[in-house]
Amino acid sequence: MNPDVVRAVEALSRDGSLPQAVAPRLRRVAAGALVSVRDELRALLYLGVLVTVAGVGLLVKDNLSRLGPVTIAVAIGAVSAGCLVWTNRQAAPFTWGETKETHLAFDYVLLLGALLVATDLAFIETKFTPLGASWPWHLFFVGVFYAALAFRFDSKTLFSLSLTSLAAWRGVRVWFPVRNWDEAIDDRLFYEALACGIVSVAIGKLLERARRKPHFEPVGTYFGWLLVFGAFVGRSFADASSWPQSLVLLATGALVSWFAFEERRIGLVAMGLAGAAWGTGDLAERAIHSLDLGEKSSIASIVVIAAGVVAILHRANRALEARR
Amino acid sequence: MNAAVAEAERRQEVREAATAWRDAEAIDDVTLRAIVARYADDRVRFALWLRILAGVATFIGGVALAVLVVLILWANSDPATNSLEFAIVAVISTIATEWMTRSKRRAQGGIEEATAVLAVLFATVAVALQIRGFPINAILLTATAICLAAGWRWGYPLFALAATISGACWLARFPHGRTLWLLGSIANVYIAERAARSERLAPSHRRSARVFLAGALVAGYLAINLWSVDESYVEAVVGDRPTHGWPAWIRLAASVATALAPIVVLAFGVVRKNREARVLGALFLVASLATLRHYRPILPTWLALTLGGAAAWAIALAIKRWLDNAPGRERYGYTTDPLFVPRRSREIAEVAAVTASLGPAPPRTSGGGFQPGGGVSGGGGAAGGP
Repeated sequence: MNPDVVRAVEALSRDGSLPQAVAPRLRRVAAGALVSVRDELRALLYLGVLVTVAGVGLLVKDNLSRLGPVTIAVAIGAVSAGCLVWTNRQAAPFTWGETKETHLAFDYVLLLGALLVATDLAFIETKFTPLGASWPWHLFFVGVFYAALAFRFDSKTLFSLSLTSLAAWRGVRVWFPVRNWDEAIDDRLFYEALACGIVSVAIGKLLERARRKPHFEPVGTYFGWLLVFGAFVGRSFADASSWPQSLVLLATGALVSWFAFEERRIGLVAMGLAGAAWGTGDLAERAIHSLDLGEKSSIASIVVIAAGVVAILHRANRALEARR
Repeated sequence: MNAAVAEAERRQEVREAATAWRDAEAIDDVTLRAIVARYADDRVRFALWLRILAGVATFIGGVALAVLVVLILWANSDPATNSLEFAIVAVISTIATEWMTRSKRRAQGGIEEATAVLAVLFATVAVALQIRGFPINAILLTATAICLAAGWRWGYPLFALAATISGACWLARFPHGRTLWLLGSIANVYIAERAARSERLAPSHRRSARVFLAGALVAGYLAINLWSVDESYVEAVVGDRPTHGWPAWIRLAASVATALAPIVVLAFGVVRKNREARVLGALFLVASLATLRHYRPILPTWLALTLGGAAAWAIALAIKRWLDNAPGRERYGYTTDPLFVPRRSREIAEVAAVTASLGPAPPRTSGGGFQPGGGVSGGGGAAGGP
């Protein structure tokens, strides 16, 4: 219930600013007399996916010897096939553009089917080892499978999971390249994360240019830059890190912010600025350490950098307001 | 709260609602522009991500500045001097917040929100240092009072959350802390539910009331849950776990309450059309079923989880069908139609949540075998590899 909006709807209706056809419904919603449970049902369906997938995982683990690997693989395969067949029947015809939601549960049945296929593939790989020593390749196949489903059924969620799987295939974790926030990353992981990030951004841009699911572009772009900045930040904890890397982080952050600002992509502006601030802080810390200036100088540098970030944000916001 | 700030918040509510109406194509651009002009904004606001970054930068910078001042001016001083220093910094932060919100007319800008948090933090530290012997009760009570005062003055729901947590910890320290939690929760639910609907209160105060309501429901459920009673979770909050067991009648009462509380909270949420109560009622139902399974493990875990997942699907789809088949696609004021909720923000949250919870992790270089559980390689909770 929102009494301020109720008052506004009444006032706007009285002087004819609101169309009479919609005013009563707007008032009911604002007064809390009409409530949508759509998001709650979606959350319940998502919870159902999480719990079911966890249950199937335990089923496989606990009952392997009793049921036998073939039975388990076939059972999971059958359920996932059922989900995907239902999805295919419900789906709107394929288009390179955006499609409308056909059923409240559509995204979640698709997600459950895709995850069960991935579980089945991982299980088959574990028990029957068809890929042998190249077993991490199953992540590549899962990523490609997710991507195919994402394009066919217009699912940003599966596109995001596809990028995650492909990054995992290269050994890169999604939200942060390492397991703990202060864990340093080695050379191989650093370059793998950078490559995955750049490829993700490139895929996003390519889709946008080719007008093939252009609305997937933000997923690739944000995912990619998250990996790139995560790689640099993780790298800054490593002994082998060097000042040129901090400088590259500063420059990359500044450039991403600048171009994102031109496109009014506020989330990306903030991400770039945060990266640039981290790079600046790392450079300052190196300089203070090499000149042996002490902890007060380190703290003072944090104050100055924070003040700089706030000042830049203030100016950026002003410029955005002026453009509006 | 300052009257001009409250008025700006009310106007912001109307503009946000109008933008959602436009997204749902209930009104056209001309109407939206007319509404935006009529309920014009007189505040300086930041876009969401700039606001978050500005808040984090201000908070880190503010803490660093305070530490720097301590190191330069008051190094090696006694607690009383340190208390005075923190009090001065708290006053400066308060003045800065007031100056930004009133004179500079800032709102949702991150910076003034961070200085408000710093003011509360430093004021609490100043009081804690001033009191001899660091009595936890006095510090918790002071923190609660300061958070309540800050929440009332500036309206940020974060202070409502902090006040709820510190207030609950304070109550838990009394001899009958669990009983006080329950009584406090009931009183809080009664007051907060009304406050959340009050026309008189500013929008941010109504949001704070919803935070109080949710906190009270959680605290109340923790007070009566049988598992929580047996494990003395409330008492453990303050490190005062009793060595003796609970009387049989208390355990019986807790068993009955564990079964009934989710239904009562759900019913309350449905009847009063309160989303927090509905969501928490559903979560309490899951918690009560987990409690039941803890004492009576009637099904294997995998089957319980799979049936639980299937039940969640069945309930969701049954509710959807029941509401969709009603005349006008609504029953008792409920519908499954999206009612003026921006689709884009929901989509971003969904993609992020799914990727974070279900995205596969890279394969480990050693070990292996099948590992169930969310977010392991293979997606869907599976890690392959010899």
